[in-house]
Amino acid sequence: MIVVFKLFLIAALTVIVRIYLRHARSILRDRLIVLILFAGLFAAIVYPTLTTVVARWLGIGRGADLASYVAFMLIFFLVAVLYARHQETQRAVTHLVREIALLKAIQPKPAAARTADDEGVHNRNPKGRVDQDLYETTLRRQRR
Amino acid sequence: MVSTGNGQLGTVTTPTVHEHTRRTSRSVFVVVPAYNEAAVLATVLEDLLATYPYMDVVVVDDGSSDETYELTAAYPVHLLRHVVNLGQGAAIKTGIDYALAHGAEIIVTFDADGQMDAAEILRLVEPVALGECDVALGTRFGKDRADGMTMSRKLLLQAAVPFTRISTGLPVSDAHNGFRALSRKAAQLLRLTQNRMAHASEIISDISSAGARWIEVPVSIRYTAYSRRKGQSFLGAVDVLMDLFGRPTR
Repeated sequence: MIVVFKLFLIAALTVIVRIYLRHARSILRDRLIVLILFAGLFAAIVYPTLTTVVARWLGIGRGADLASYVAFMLIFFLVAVLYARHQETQRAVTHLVREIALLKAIQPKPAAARTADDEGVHNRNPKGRVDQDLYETTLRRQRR
Repeated sequence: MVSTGNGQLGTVTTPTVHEHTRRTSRSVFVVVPAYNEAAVLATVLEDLLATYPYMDVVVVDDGSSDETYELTAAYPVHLLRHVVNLGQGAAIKTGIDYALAHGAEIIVTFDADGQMDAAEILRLVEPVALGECDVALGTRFGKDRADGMTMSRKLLLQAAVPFTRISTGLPVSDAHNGFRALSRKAAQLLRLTQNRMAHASEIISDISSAGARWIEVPVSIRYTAYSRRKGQSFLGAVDVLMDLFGRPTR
């Protein structure tokens, strides 16, 4: 029974963190949560007996157990927040890299034109240089 | 692999379909994400260009450290470069964005590692061009066509199928096949926020939630020593699961 209950607790914690990261996240709330958890830690250092009182009250038993649970949750939360921040940075990098790629794209002669004048693939530019005139004409045509 | 260097045309599936695609003059863009593929990319591009001279090929060099970019520049293809490596999903998204901006009506995603057969592109493009579906997905499990697939890979891919079915609600037979054809409409509704390999599941999930019409087309994927080395390991599946778990909301 206890194993089932623990699994349930882990699942619940996972879901809560996920919901928080997806829907309720803000830097202010991140800081508040970290602050509250740290405040708890300091309180436990200053008044060690306090943990036992709270632990008894929660039905955990020993104060040290409670402290380790809280420490575990704090670390779990910090990892989750860091992961979310990392993902945000990653998204920004992706956006930048994509913009640069699109800005610096090298364009060949339009495929339709290649087929029409029978140049096809067998007459490709051997040096791989971009035909600047053609590139600009194409750009102008597209803008129109 | 089809020989193309001497000016011969590659294996053509059905000339009538070629004609049809050409006559309806639908603009088809083939997006090829490439990461350190200098060893095989030339063959792949020659094959593509010889088989479909009327299609636009978009190569997205995903921050390769080898000569992928320089090598591709010699071919009449659209060439884009990610200055840093982002992952296959990101490269596909860049290619699709580019193709859409250049008036693509049908977009094909095609791997650069020589695993896919260019001649089979039409089998995917045809149903989309004819308006029978919005998305044609390649499947490796159509008729036992995945040559040289190892047993462990087969099991892993098969295991991913029920996962994808449950999480996306789409009864696909192959969850992570990179060979697909999309209509312009379908390509526009893809979100593609997944930079790495999880984009394959994401595409299916987007198709599902948008209610796009889709079909599966059996394709042959060649597993060579090269592709196996370049491909995903078992641990890649863990990455995919982690990426999907942490994905943002729409």
